[in-house]
Amino acid sequence: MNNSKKSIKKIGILIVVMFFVTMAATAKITLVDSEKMIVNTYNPRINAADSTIKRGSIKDIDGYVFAYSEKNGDTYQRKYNDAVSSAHVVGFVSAGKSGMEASANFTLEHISSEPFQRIKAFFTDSDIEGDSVYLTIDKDLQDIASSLMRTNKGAVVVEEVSTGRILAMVSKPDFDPSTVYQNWDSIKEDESSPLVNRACQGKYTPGSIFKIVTAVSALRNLPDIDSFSFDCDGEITFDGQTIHCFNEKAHGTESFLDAFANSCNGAFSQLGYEIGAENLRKTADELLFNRGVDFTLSTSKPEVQLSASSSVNELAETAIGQGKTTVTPLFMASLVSAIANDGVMMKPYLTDHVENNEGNIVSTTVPEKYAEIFSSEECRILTEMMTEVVNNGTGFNAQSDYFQVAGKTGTAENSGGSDHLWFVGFAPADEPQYAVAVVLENNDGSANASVIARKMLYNAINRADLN
Amino acid sequence: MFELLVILSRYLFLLYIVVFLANSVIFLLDEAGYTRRSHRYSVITGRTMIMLMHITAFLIVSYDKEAISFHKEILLLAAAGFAFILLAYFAVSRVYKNSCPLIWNCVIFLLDLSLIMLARLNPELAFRQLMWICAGFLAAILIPAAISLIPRFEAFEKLYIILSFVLLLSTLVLGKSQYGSTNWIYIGSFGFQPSEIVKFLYIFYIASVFRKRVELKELIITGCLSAAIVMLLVFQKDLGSALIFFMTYMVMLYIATSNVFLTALGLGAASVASVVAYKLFNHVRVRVAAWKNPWADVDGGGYQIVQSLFAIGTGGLLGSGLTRGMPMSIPVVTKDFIFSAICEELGTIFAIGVLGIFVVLFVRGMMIAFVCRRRYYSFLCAGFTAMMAFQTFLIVGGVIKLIPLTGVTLPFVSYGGTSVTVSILTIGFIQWVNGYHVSEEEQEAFGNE
Repeated sequence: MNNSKKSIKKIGILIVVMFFVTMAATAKITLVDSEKMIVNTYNPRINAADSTIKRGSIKDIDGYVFAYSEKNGDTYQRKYNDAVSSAHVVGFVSAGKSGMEASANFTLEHISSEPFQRIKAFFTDSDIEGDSVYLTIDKDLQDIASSLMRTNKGAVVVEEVSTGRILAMVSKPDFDPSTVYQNWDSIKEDESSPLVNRACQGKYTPGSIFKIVTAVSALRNLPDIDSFSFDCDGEITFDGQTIHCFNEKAHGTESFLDAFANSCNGAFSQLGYEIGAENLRKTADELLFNRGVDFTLSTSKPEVQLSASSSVNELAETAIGQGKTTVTPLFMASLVSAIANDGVMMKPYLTDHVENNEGNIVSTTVPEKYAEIFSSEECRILTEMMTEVVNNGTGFNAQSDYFQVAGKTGTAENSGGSDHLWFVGFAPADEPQYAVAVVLENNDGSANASVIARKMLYNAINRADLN
Repeated sequence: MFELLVILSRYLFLLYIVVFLANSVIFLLDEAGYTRRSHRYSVITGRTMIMLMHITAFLIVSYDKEAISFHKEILLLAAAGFAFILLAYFAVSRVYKNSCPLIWNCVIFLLDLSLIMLARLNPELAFRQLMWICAGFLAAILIPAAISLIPRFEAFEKLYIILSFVLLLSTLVLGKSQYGSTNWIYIGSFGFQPSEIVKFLYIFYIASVFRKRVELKELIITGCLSAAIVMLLVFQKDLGSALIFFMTYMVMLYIATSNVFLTALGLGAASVASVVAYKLFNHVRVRVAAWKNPWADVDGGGYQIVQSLFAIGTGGLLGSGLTRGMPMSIPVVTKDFIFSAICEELGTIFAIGVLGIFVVLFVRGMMIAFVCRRRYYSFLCAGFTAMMAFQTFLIVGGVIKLIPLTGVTLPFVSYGGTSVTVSILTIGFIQWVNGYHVSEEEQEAFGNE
């Protein structure tokens, strides 16, 4: 065999190897990456819907049917049982798609063992049925949250801290998915935007609940924070601008713990000043601000806009949760969940499991660690501070006879009217199970965020007694 | 009911391609002497699979769900396609003495797959593709006669390279831009891609030069001319073709000299050149960025590749079934991205089978180059095969995000007159070399008696 023949043989082998690699890479897309492709919102295939098959149902954790399909002539129609309190989570399909009707569309339209179902339908006229989705939310909790909020706009989120499962997600004002199509014009023009899911898309000024972030930044950046002391006379002036404490109350001489429990604006803007804009921004970024958390439904990104060039004023405002900072209730629930879960933020999720037409479980969501954002020591200190808020501070309305609540209140001034009221927290403080975030938008005085939070935590912990 | 049949048809397509590939392997084993059967049986089975696939696919594609009847035009196309398959087998068996039936099988399988996918995506293009395929075969039928008229066609080495440059340079003057590359020439309404034709001429040229002893002078001349072609193509933003020419040159150089050092030197120079090109040209950087993380810019640079991955990933192992996917959402789906459409509707397993058919084709081509004793023909064969293999690898690897995407056609399958005609002509030459080799061996065998 001469040299050129040997070379031809080698090139031949090279080509074969190249193609085996290509085959393996093709298989990998389908076997490994396909799940990622199927849930991507840019994939036009996930929006396809076929009215000649029976779309799967959407149910709550206990099997309450929110949405189902019914045959009407040759095609199927979407129907909703009472789903008003869960309207934003369940969504609708009549006038475009939203909520889980949009996010889980591919699953709801997916026909398991399709050839078999089609053969059966051909001979027996049975339904060709998509898979059904069981949500993590509990309709009873949804109804309770909805009624507790009374006439307020806003949102309530309850999350299990060890898993990230969302037990309740309520946004107000709400709408009725079953009549969305008929009332489309009036809903669309309603200035209170009932279609927006405020729980994950509302961009709210955090107010004092942001002091959690400032406190963490102080722990990370100020070595002598233990000996911090502040003399509050009800106001503090930076660069010509004065920041007042709530109701211009003078808190007197406070430690770090007292200042947090009293939600003292003077002390926290002073802390912000000592921490510095860059460091505070760095801590916020470490706590996933400006990045957000992946979620089943579309979310708004929490934002902190500090930078090295920010003015002292902007820094002081940001440190107490005013200024250009925005958060969503879902993000705040995840953030306090991480404090309650030894620093680990779990990925929040809404789909508990998926069942096929025969009632067999096709897939179950496995809780996923999302990020580790606090140290154990920080969690211990924060829990202590948040407990103090409830026991001896601004969060007294969240005190419960049955368990210890840890939390933080917030009152966010805003240009659009009266203040937003916040409560974020978790319980029981010593062995945390559930985290909660409540925001009442331009509070009208008919409800109290701390009270709603306490009642939601009570009902979540005693969920077995509901029904 | 129709939906059910389409879903069940996925298993049929799988069966066709598995049986086809199995018989291709059996053929190779028979020939290598591992079995004692004649390989006629496996060839006929392969042909039967193509015809069954043709009938199954066109019944689905031509069916009109709303009207509950068949599209007449597509049925006509199906009949014409079927007639073509029969005629092509008949013609090549008459004209090409001792050609390899396995290669014809693979080529006709791929061409028929092209007709099926195009009929599903855009029937009008399928008609035009069929016309180009017929033209390609008519031209290929003339090859043996042409070679018998001009027996020593290696003598025209200078003509080949001059023609190549004329064609490539003409795009600078007359060229029109399509899909971001300026590599089309229009004469009236008739457009073609000169770079496709140059591929053909270029192999003739390099094989002609390298058939002699390769000294420094040949190295410098071929090296400089090849580099000039590659640079011209990069300048026209036709990165895919540039890469194909470069790789083919390296392969030919390696085969002619067996010099690992030279080849390594060439590859090293190319690496330096790629880095320079990356720094120099924005369109190169855009391609690389889109490959590294297409998700970062789904609406912009990453759009094409992401849409392709969606199609493949959503289709799954068995595919959505012909006509049941959404391949129209993939950009340039009839040309560069036709492989993604095959993945989506016929399934990843089928698509891997298609790659298997390409492998059989290339292995066969390299085997002919290996056994052929006349150096010039051996080089021609190796060059043609390697060039086609790299082209296939570039586009398939590109649409599955294995390598950065460069817009070239998938041989035999993508829509494109110049591409499909030149691919068929290439196979014609490989087959002719095979016939030449076999008849030479036969003559020797007679001589020994």
